[in-house]
Amino acid sequence: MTRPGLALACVVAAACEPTVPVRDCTGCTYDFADTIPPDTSLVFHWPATRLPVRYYADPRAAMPALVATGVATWNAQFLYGELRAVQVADSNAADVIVQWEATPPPDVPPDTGAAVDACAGSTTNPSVVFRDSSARVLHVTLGAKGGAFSDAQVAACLRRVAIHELGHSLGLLKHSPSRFDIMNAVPTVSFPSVTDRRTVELLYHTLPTVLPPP
Amino acid sequence: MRARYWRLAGIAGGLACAPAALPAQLLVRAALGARYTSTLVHDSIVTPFDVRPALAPALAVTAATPVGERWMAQATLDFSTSALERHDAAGTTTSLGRVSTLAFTVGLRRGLPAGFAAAVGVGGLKYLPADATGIFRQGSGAIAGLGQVTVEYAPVAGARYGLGVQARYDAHRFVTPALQSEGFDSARLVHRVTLAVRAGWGGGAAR
Repeated sequence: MTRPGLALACVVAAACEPTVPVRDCTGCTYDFADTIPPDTSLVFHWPATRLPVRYYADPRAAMPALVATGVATWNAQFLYGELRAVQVADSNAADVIVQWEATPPPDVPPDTGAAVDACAGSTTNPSVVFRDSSARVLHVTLGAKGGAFSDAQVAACLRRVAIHELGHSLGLLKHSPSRFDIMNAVPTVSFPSVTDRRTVELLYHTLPTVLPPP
Repeated sequence: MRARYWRLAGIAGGLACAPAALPAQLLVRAALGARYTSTLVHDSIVTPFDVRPALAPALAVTAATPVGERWMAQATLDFSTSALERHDAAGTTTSLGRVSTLAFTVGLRRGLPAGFAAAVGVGGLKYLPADATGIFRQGSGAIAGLGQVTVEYAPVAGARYGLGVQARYDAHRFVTPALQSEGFDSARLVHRVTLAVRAGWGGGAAR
């Protein structure tokens, strides 16, 4: 092949190769690992051998719908089959059990106004549960906060916090510093941001140091 | 999605099983073989990896009619289906679900000496994912333009049934709306190679 021909072939070949997106830029992701000073990093995610991750939802009130939304939301963040989560009807067959902290709040349509911090949630830390105990299941609890909140404000808050807590159960162990991310300590957005998505994507391509029981 | 596959199979089967109704100058061939497809997506998250379909069964039905002494005009409907797989740098493979392709091409075929023939075609190709997840979560995108080259060999002994073997190469560009959202700035050139056995009906000698 002549030199100009070779150059043309190289240009054509290069033009056919799309540029891989940049993901390791500053601010594109946030910390997802727990740390034990001085230098132990605890990285947890569900390995491919444990997929699908099975979620059981307390059948009362809006919990099944909240978990279904959370599962679908996180499933949709992945491009390459890194995660598959499903909802199961039997708590004995679950990897994660999601329950009400107390009496379920009324199941009403969520408020569409500004986000109000009207509910709370918590998740047992997988890096603690699977590292330091023989437990096989993670527990997530959701509930309404006391105060002058409307049922609709509580419902809207629970929808955000359910997605947030399921994010913890997937291995996003830290909170995002940005209020535009669902993994912010007080989530005010309705869905994961691009930063949330890139962070969980990065997590599921990082070698875990904590594994669930087989 | 399953109903769509059956409908396609019905059309292909109908074409292949209707030799009695063919006009004298119409030749119909069906080819069944195996297809290799090159990488659809190359990405890197911590480590690099590729996404490509597994080796796939491929069925093509071609209708052709003479336009000269050695030339034929032809139209081909091509279908293949297989698992989409992610191949990691560590050597692990993860299935991402089933994906099928349907392609339609029109082109010219020319007979060559010693039982060989060559054909070129252009057309369109559509990806049909079984599930709207992963790289297909926002759909499979527009129909991609397709260029195709085929080389066939038909031994004299199999002329009555138009038996022969063929090697097909085609190329198209691949990108999906989800990949574009992820930041892929252009489509990737995808190559496919198919080796197939074919049979033909109509048009006199099916060579």
